[in-house]
Formats: sequence, C-alpha cells, structure tokens
Amino acid sequence: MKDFSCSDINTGWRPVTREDGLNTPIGEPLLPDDLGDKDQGQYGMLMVDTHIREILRMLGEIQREINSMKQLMIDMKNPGTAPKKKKKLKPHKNRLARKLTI
Amino acid sequence: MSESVNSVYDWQQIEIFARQILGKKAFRDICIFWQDKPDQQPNQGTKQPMRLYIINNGACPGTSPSSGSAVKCVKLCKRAVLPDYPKNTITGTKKSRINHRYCLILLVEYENGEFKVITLPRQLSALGSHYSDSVMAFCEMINPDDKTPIPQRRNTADFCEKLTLATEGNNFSAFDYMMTFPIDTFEPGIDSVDLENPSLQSTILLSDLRYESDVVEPYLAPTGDGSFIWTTAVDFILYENITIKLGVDQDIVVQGLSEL
Repeated sequence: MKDFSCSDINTGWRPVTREDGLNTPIGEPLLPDDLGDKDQGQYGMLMVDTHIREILRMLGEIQREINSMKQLMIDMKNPGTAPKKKKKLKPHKNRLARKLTI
Repeated sequence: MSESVNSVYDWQQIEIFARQILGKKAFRDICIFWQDKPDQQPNQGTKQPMRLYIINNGACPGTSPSSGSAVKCVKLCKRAVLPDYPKNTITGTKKSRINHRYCLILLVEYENGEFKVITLPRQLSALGSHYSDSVMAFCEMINPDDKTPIPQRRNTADFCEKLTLATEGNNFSAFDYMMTFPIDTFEPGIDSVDLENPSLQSTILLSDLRYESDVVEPYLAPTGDGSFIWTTAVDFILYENITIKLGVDQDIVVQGLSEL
C-alpha cells in the first residue's frame, strides 16, 4: 500500500439536499437507492402512502388540539359548570359493551 | 474577595451562535476504486483492484502489432475532485447518500525509460472497442458495444456502494462513487424531527488517501475490426477515510461576562 501525500478534502458546511420527491435537485435521480425497474413503481406508491399517512396523523393531532382549546374556552366562559356526567348505559347496552371488551 | 473576580451580579446575558453537531459517522479504509469480482451474484460483488490495460509506449494497433515498451510502474500523481463534490443527500427512505466524483492523474513509467501522464477516465475506453489516439488505457467497466459504463456494485443489508462513470457529452468526465447507509448509523442517533430541520447542514471530510498498483502481465488487447494492440495489465485500487457530520445552527444564550 502506498501512501499518497495530498491534503485532506473538507467540503465545509453545506445545506443538506433532500430527496423526498418535493425538493429533488435538477439532474438528480428521484429515487434514492439502487432500486430495480420493478421496484420503482412500488417505491412511488410507498412514498405517497407514507406522506398521506403522516399528513393524516398531523391533521388528527391538530383536530384534537382544536377540540381541547374549544373545551378550554367553554370552561373559561362558564367557570361554574362541571363536566357533564356520562349518560348511564341501558342494561342491555352495558352487557354488549362488556362483551366487546372481553 | 479580590476586585478581579466578578460577582455573579455582574454577569450579563450573552447570545452565542454555534453549530451543533447532531451526528457523526466515520468510515475507515473505504475502497472507492475497484471492480467487482467475476462469477458473483449481482449486487453482491466482492471488491478487487480495477484492472487497467495501459497501452505500451510506441505500440500501434494492427493484425500483428509491434509490442512497444511495457509499463514498468504506475504512480498516482493527483486525485482531482470535481467542484461541489463530495455531497450528501438525505433520501426519502431515511438514508444518507454520499456522492463523490473524481479523476485520476497517473504517472506511467515504461521499460524504455519514457514517462507519460494519463488522465482517467478521460483517456479510458472499453476493452475491444475501436481505438483512437486519445485512448491511453482500457478497462472492463465500459461496455464495448454501446460505450456505456458498467456499474460496479457492492450491497450488504443496509450499506450500498456503487462505482460508475459520469459522462459529459461523449466523454467520460469522472469516476462517480456513491455510498448509501441508514441515518440511524450516525452517532449519536439523530431524531427524526432534527432531520426535518430546514437548516440541517452536512460536512464531509476525505482523508488518508492510499493506493496500490501492481504491474501484472503483458496483454494483447482487441481494438475492434480484427486488430489488436499491446498493453500492460495493471491492477489499481484506491482507499480513503470518509467522515460525515450533520449539524444545525443554534443561538445559545448564556449568563456570563464577555472578555471584550
């Protein structure tokens, strides 16, 4: 093995390029890894599916936040009102609920 | 208490700008110039030195060509890295990919005492393809039929490497090495929230470049149209260390005294 005397190469800090289908640089392949032709279609679907799932999850979280904020506003307007008691289930519904939980 | 020691009541709020290293990965002795061992399963290739067939000094193509003067030794003069390379990409499958493009400038010494400088891959051609005056060497990673590169690959469970040739018009402009590995191999592990940070940056350090070159044997290379040219087979391989860091800019507020 021969050592080669040359200075180290340091790129310095640069913004990371992201390859997520939305921000693919020109001239760069869209697909990140060495996928075969057969895998490319599946990969596209997987990407879309993952994005949609993530967006839905975030929307769900936002909705829950809005609901809790709404409840907080109502409680602040009416400080005396206690949370409503849960309506007691009728006996047959109660039995059904117990069966489902088993 | 002496006057030189400041009380904590003199401290002030100081804002500091810093780059926080989120994760680091160092790859040692990475072979960046190789050819796959034949008779291996596709994508499971074992690395072996790239065999270069360097045209002998004074050799000309023909049906019964003169041998010319064989290669005595090959030394690496320079490894030129293309502008903007190496670069890092975060892929959609939570992997990091390093792309590295470079040219090799070799000093070739012949048995007759002559020297020549050859630039690869610019002066490289396919074994068995038509010979032109600009060609100085042949290799097996170019398809002789359509002059397209034959990528050399090495894949393990979560680590992929590929070596191919970058083209510029009809010429090969650089060797294109690519390494892909999972983000979770960074140390310490990087949180997925940090990966989405728009100010995420990376730096790549290439160090300790080493090479091996062995003159193997004389070889009568086909040059198409039934003619041949005398070459010397030389095995050449390159290693280096590759270190990558990912980081973000941070504004940090501390309590203390500035020396200014």
